[in-house]
Amino acid sequence: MTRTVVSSAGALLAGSVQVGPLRLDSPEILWSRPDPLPPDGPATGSRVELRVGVELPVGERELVLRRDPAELRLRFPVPTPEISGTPGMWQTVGPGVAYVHWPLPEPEWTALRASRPELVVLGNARALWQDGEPFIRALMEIRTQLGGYPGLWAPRVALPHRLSLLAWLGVDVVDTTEGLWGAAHGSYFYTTLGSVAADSARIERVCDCASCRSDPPGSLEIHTQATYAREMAEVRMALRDGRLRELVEARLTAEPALAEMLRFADRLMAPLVEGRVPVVSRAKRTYILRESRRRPEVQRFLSRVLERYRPPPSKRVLLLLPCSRTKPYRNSRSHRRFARAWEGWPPGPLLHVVSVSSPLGLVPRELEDVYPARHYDIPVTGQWEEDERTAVLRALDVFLARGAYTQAIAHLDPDEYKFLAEALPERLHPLWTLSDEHTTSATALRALRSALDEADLGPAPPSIGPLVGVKEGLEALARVQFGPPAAELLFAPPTRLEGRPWSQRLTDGRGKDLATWSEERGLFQLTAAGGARIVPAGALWVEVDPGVTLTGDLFAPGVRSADPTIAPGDAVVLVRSGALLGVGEAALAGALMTELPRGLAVKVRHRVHAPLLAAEPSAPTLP
Amino acid sequence: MPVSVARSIAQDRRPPPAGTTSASQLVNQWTEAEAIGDERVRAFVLILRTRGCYWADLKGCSMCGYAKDTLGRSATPEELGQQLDAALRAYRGERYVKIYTSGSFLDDREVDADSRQRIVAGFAGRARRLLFETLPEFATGEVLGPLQRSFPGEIEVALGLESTQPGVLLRYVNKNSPPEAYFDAADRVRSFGLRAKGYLLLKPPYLTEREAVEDVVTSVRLAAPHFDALSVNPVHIQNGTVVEWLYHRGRYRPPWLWSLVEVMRRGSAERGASRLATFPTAGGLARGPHNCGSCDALVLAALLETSLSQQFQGLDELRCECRTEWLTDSTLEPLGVEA
Repeated sequence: MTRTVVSSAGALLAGSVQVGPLRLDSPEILWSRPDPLPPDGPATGSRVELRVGVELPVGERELVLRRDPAELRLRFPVPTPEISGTPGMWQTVGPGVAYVHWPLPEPEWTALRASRPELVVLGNARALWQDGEPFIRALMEIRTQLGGYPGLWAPRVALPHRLSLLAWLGVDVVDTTEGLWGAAHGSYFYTTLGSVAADSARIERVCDCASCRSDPPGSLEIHTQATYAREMAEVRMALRDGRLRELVEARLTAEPALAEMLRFADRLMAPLVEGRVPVVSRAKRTYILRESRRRPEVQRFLSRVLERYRPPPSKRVLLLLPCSRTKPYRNSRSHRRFARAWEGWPPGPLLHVVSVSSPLGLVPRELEDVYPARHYDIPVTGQWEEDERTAVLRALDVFLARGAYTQAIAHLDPDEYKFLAEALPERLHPLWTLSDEHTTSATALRALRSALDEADLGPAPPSIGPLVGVKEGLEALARVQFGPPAAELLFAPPTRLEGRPWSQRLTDGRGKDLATWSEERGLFQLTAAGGARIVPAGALWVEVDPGVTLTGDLFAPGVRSADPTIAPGDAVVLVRSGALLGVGEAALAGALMTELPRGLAVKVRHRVHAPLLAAEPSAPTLP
Repeated sequence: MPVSVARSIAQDRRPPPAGTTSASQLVNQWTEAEAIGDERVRAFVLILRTRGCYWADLKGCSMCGYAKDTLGRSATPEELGQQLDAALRAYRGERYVKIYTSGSFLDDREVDADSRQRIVAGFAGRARRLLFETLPEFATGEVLGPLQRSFPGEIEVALGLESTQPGVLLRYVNKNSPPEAYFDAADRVRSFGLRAKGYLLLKPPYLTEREAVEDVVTSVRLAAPHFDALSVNPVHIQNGTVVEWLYHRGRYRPPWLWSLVEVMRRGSAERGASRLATFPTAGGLARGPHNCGSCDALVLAALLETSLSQQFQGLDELRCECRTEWLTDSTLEPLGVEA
């Protein structure tokens, strides 16, 4: 009787949900079976059917969810909030199943939480969907109040082209009622365009379901069911590939409500969703639409820069470069050519190379490997939209306010980047090194070099070697990864860098590793000693249950509480009453570590050695 | 507690106190086909402008928007007299006269006793049957006795029973009284030798199409012993009602005419000795009971003929492709958990 999580996308925890005797997949379709049954409907047995149950007195209705031989009989109330004035209510409608008519007053949430439902049925889902934003607010409040654990069924909102969005929003269970309704009234569903003229679709044979193949064509109900099935297969495929969001965006053309909902969700559900997106990924991301630029990993990158980033303190020359299609930028043809311009330029470590990017705003060289900066692709037109400019300008404010620059150089097409010209302050006497769009011509590179030679390095430019420059860069990265207080503790002297440009080790100067960094990963991994340094900062901590002795990985039942900002992939410290037990890599969002009753929470990389454990109170061992 | 949609709508639709010009005018008047026994007659219908239904001011029924036709204050006897004069000028001696207020004709706050007397007497000797509508609590011997004495023909007291199922009546229609209050009033009316007519509502909000059909059929069976005639009123969307609010949000569809056909067919077997009729308002329109649009006129004509003749077999022969759509809707709707 529990939820099993296989993967996560948006607010969805894909896997399965056990409700009493019935196992529901997530995402799952309930196949609505009105009477009379469509002749070629999906076979019973493997699929879950939704049927009307026995007739009940006025004010109650019974529905049956069935996957042979398991069956769930649910008795729903018929609330009349428009008349009664009671805005919402909840009630148990079957074993482990709670019916919710949103919104609920606060005390009701407490009672609902205490009932520990396995499945929540959002009874007025369709009405909320019609209202738009309240649908998203309802989903968000359900997850905020009840956590990720319960399955969620939103009745009668799913149409084939809505399946990916509903999954992204964390709706585990949907049904085919609305689609069958549409079919009964002549709608021919086609996921890219929503619904199309049945005649055109059938003349051109766009669908090869049994109904559309037969001559004369069969019923629209059968076509509708086939369309649901195919789209759900696409949703599952996208989930496997970690590309559900892209499928959601691909469906936005089907009806305006999809983009409305997604925009509401990107705003209102961001706190929930951003924590679920891994901080490390090797998958290539494409950001094509305006909605793409609102994706959680993009928003997180932007907000981490705004909240945590500080340019390395020795940087005096801010050099703004165009981004490149090849990632990381420094490996691209254009950036390798740019690099020739500052080859042998004596104050090299004082140069800060920063790429102007959509959708990531400003990407300093030391963050080029941080997901998603290392793996993304966008359409490039040379025309910047309002939100893309805003992202750049907001980041620039932070760079200027927290950096110690004395000179700005923009190696950018002055026409295309006009919007930046006004934002660069006079005190940095910005130099624009290009007169056209040719950034890598010999002339352009010469202009860049002479701008560097002329650069104002201020009255007392720091005199540092390249290694110190690298270390400052890594500390700037650590601030973004761990937050400034933890980064300062981690880099507090004595520290020393060892290793190669693509694989660095931060040590305590006496040969003990504190953290390692590889460009593949883009973020640090902690050692026990490094973990011990950052514990006092109170960041990325997982409090281990007193009853657990750490012998292998840490599972959800062993987590007492966890930093809610933890995202999968984050380097975390395992603590108990302030003492470090080990370090590892989060497998779940921090909030989910306590919301879910089972599953891997932290992949443990190092456990602390016995001496560090001595101060700990003795605790019983789990078998 | 937050104000319900019903309550805020009820407040919005109540008109400000009216001036004397409109107060002297009827809301409306027209004639329509009716039957008295086997005889086809014309009926003269008039709607008096009064302060309106007191219940509409307190809570209001979910489908009723007649409060918009009220004065916002009591009409004076003079104003009611002027309205009666206007009605009598239009009256051509129709055998059946139906008098409505947007409330209860027998509520003194709407029509004072003397005016009531004058209005009834105005049709004495000319109409054979006189109908007026009232809430059950006003249908008392004290009020009815004098009216009976000033009208020599048949008096028929119409009661908006709507449904015999308390849950439907109190929770979905938002009526003030349980069904028994209507049964008692009908029994009382008949004990004075007057006729009792009951209105039944087809498809109040929150019922599915199928539940709505069952509700009326059940109601016909349970109400028939108390009433001389039952008239089925399919809901039409009136301005300023809960039903309209739901309709605008895609959560309410007026009943299919097929449902009405079904109700009449099955109801005819349950009606006992009482008449069973229906005269739908806004039939065939988007905001009224309707089918696909192509068969509506035919179905409405059959329903009218049935209502007048009390011969129900003609309904069995109605056919249209949209009947399948109605069946599918009726079977899919319950799967939606909520409308």
